[in-house]
Amino acid sequence: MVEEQGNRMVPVTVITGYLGAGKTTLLNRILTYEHGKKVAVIVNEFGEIGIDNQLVIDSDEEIFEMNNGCICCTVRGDLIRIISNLMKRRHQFDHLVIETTGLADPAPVIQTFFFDEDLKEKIELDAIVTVVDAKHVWQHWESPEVQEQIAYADIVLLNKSDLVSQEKLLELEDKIRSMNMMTKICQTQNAEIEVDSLLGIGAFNLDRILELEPHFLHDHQHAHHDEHSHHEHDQSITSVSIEKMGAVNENKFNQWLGELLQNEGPNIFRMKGILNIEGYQERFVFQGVHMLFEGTPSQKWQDEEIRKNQLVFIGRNLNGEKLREGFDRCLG
Amino acid sequence: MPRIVTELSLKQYAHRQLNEYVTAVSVASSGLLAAASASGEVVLWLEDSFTVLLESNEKSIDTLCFSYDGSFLAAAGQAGIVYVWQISNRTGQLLASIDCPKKWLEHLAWSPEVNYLAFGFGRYAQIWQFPNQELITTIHLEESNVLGLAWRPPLGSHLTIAHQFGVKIWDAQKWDEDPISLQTEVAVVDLAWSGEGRYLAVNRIDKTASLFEWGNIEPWFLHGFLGKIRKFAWSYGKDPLLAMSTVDEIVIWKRSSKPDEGWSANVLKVGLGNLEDIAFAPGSELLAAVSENGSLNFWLKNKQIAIDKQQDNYSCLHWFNDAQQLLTGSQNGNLTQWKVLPRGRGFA
Repeated sequence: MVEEQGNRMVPVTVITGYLGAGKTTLLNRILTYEHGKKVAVIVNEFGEIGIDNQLVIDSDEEIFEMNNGCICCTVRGDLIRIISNLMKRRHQFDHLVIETTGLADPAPVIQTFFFDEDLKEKIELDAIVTVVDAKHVWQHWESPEVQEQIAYADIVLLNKSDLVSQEKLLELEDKIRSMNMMTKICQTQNAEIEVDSLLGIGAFNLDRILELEPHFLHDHQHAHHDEHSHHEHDQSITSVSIEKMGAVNENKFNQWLGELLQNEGPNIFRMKGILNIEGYQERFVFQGVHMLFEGTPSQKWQDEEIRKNQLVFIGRNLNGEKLREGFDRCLG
Repeated sequence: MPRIVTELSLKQYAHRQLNEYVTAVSVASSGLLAAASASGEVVLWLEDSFTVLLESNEKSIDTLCFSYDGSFLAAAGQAGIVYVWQISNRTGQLLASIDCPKKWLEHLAWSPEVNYLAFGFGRYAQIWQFPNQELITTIHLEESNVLGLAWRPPLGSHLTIAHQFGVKIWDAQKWDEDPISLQTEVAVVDLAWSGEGRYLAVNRIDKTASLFEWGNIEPWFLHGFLGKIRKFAWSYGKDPLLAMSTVDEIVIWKRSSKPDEGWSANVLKVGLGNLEDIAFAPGSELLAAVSENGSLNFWLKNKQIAIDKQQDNYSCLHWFNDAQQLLTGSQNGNLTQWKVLPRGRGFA
């Protein structure tokens, strides 16, 4: 039993949000709430946590680029070191929360967990939580960081929702969904949210989301189909979802995805999918950030289950038609 | 006729227990051992004498080292404090604790010839002289944190600092002069000098390595590793071997005797989990390696000559100066001393 616990993956929640959106309020809430979890928090050096806690660790954001200068190949060196050190101690914490700076692109943080072989083995991305200031976000809408933070989110907290009208909130929700159809949106005041509905929810894992909400992709896609076409011209970040029956040829898929990431990697922020691959009894689950990509066989398909491929891409200047055509060519 | 070692006999002869993952070990020339753990313990150990210098607390100690003559021990870690003890009669007296608030300290090194201690904190490094506790200089890296530091052997003539874009090398007599700068384009996460200060091996974040020869800023480029490079080790002598561990393999690099041919690699497949630490025995090409899955391995001339499978999840190792004793530390807090004796054919 003890062994099992020792080998368990530690979930990590990444909290992003523009300056003043309410990240620190949310962190304080997580740290003071009695949720029975031992949470270690890594904050950037400008963060002001109001609570003395042995498991709050300061870190200077340290972005390491690989030698090609591409955003796809940047990682957080400080996180690799700090988390590797923290993980040496047994049973010290069972959840990790990382706060990014307000002006950070979340990609390097997420890529860190794909890049480093030790972290990949021991850490599991739980969710990317983006705190949005419902009142002031309109002033920062053109900021690439604001857009990226929304594009990466598994959960968006529309914070300070009491400061704007319901109408304005709905408009904002629509705008966010048109960029990122995968995200959950919660309206909050003072970042008040049930901590249990934020930590340990497995929102990064599409397989797990679909298990809980089988129509997750489907619903959003249809409910917002009109908005999609409306906004297509005035904003560059969008989601493209693909839902298709049939068996995927593994080689063709690998080749297609490889070429796609080679050419479009910088524009593809995130992708997730579940595939029915020829010859596999299990569903194949994959996810990626820019050019980094990982996939594994997951649960078996049930006998009565319809074997359906589901993929979502979120990125800048995505060509939905081309993506769908490309995927179609991978079938059978 | 020299004796040909075909096998080693291994004997575990002493054991102690720390509360947590053994993060660092050091062996003084006197045979006194020091070890640190992820719960912040620092201990001294020689035969029946076992002294706790720092008890378990909430913050880990991640680096620890005896000074060249064994008269000081320095340790640092998560708490942002550099501790320095004066060592005598198998025990230590705390001499200094230097505060570096809110910095997780991972890098410190004593000069090989004088009692100069260098340590890094964030974008700074400082050099202190002991026992006077005099601050010699503060180095500021404008564009990066200190990612590693090492004195150039054999005399400590230079201090080398790894950073996000390469390596900088200061002349230890002229701290105010601009350092030599070696560019690597990507972050350097570890570095190791060969024993005579001729070569500098540099571990890069992109899972490759650069190898510099003193006096030449153009490096050899070493690549094709299975994963990240976990540890470097140089063998002793004029034409040293460079060993690197990656995943469950060791890659041994040897420079060709022909000047224009560079370095060739030989891969030793250990195959028992990630190799957490490797080291050549002083004065020889006998290489010891420990793995996280509990094997202690010995290789000589590309041949495995001993293996012990204890299932002890090793984390680190350190040879004694006599090259016949070894200290291992484990992820479960075990500290073990080993006698390593050659058994061979032929005549001594």
